[in-house]
Amino acid sequence: MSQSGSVVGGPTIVDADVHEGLKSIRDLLPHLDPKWHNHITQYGWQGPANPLPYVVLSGEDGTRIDWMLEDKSMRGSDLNLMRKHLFEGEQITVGILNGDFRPSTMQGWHEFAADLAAAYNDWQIAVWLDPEPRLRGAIHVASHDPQIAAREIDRLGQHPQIVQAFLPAINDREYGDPYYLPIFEAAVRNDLAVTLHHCGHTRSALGYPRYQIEWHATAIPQTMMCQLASMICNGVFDRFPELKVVVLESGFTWIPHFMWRMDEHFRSLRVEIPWVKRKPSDILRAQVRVSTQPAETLSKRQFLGLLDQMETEDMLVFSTDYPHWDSDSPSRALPAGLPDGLQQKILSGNAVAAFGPRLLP
Amino acid sequence: MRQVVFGADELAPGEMRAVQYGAMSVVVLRDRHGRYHALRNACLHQGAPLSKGTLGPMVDGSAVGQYEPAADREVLRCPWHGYEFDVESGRCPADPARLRLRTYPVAVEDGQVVLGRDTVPGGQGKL
Repeated sequence: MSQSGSVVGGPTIVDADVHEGLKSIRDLLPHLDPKWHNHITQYGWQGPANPLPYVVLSGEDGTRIDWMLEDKSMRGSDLNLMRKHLFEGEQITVGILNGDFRPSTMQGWHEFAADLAAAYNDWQIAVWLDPEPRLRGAIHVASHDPQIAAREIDRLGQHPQIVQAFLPAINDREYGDPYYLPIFEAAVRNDLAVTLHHCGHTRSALGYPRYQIEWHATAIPQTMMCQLASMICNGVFDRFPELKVVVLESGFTWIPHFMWRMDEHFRSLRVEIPWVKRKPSDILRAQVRVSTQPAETLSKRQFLGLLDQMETEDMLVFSTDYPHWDSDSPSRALPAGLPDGLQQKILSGNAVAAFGPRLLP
Repeated sequence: MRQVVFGADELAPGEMRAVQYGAMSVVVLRDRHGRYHALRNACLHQGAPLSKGTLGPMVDGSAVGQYEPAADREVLRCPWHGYEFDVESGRCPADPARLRLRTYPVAVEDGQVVLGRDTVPGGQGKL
C-alpha cells in the first residue's frame, strides 16, 4: 500500500458519491461574477429552495451523527474532517465529489443559475480539488440552457481531477429530450461521464408522499428508471456509444426488473423508436453504471443471483454517500465472501472503466 | 421433405397463408416485391399464429423522430404482442442475437409454391 492507501496499479476503493458542502452561500462570492453579489449580500438570496419536507434520523442537515462537525456546521464542509472520516476511517482511495448545490433546480433566473454553477465549480476546485489529490470533481451546470451548460463543461472539462458532468434527476426534465444533447456532446468530447443524482426536487410518482420512508424508497429509483428510459428511447446512447452514465444513490436491486421490462416492451414496440439499435438491457450493460448505496441488504446468494439476472459484473460501483445519515461502509455494504475479483470490480475496477484514466491517482 | 402447398397465383404480394408442413404449421407469405418466404407459424414469445398478424416494411430510423421504412427488409408482426420477425432471416430486429424464428426454403416450380429443402431459397424456384 502506498501512503494514499492505493495498491500499485490502481485504486483499491473508489467512492463514487461524496458530498462536499458550502458552509454559507457567501462562500461563493470570491468566485461569482460581481454583478450578482448584491443579491446575496444585500437582498437576502440564500440559495436554491429545497421543497423536501422531511427530516428524519440524522444530525444537522442530513449528516450522519458520528460525522457531525464539532461546531455542528453544515455537512461535508470541512476537508480535514473529510480526510479523517473518509480516507482514514473508511480507507477510501479516491473520492468523487457530487456536492449538494443544485442550480439546475431553480425554476427561473437561468442566467443567475448558470453563473452560480460556474462559481460553485471554481469553489469546488479551489477548496477541495486543489488541496486534496485524492478527490475528483464534477462540473455542475444549469441544465435549463444546454448551450451555456455545454460551454461550462468545455471550460473545465480538461481539468485533471474533473471526471464527470453532473445532472440532478428532476422530474420535470427529460434528459433524453434532444434539447439536452449539447450537454451530452460536451461531456463526450471532454471524456467525462454524465452523473445523475436525486435532490429535493426529485418526486415519486405520487409527488411527495406523506412520509420520508415512502419518498426515499420509491422516488429515487423511479426517477432514475424514468431518466434512463428517456435517454434510451430518445437514442442518446446510440448517438454517443462512448458515453457512460453513472446513476447514484438509487440502490441497485431494481436493475433486473428495469432491464426485463424495457426489453419486453422493446420487442413489442421497437417500431415506435426505430432509431434505437440495441435492446435496452444491452445499452444498460454497456453504458450505464449504478452506485451501490444505499445497498439493499442481501445474502451472498441473493447478491450473486442478482448479478446473474443483470448478466454482468460490470455495472455496480461502490459509493458511501459521505457524510449522509445512510452512508455505506466499503467493509460492510457488500455481502461477505464475494469472489475477490468481483469485489475489486465493484470497489474500484468498474469505476475506473466508467470514469476513465483521470480517476487513477 | 418437399411439399406442394398451393398454386403460385393464389397469393398476392403482401398476403400470407398458414399451411401444414409435416407436424408444423408454417406461414407462407409473399413480400411486397412478390418474393415468397416461409417461417414457422408460432411466435417465439407465446406461440401466437403469425399468419394472423401483419406484414410490412421494417421501420428503420436514423435519428430521433425519423420513421424510415426499409426498402429491402420486411417484417412479420405478431398479432398478440407485436413481436417482429424479419421474413428473410427469421430474426427479431429487437433482439436478433437471441430470437430467431425458424425459416423454411420455399420456391415456385411449374406454377406451384413448393416448401422444402430441395428448393432454391429466395423464392425464385427452379423455373
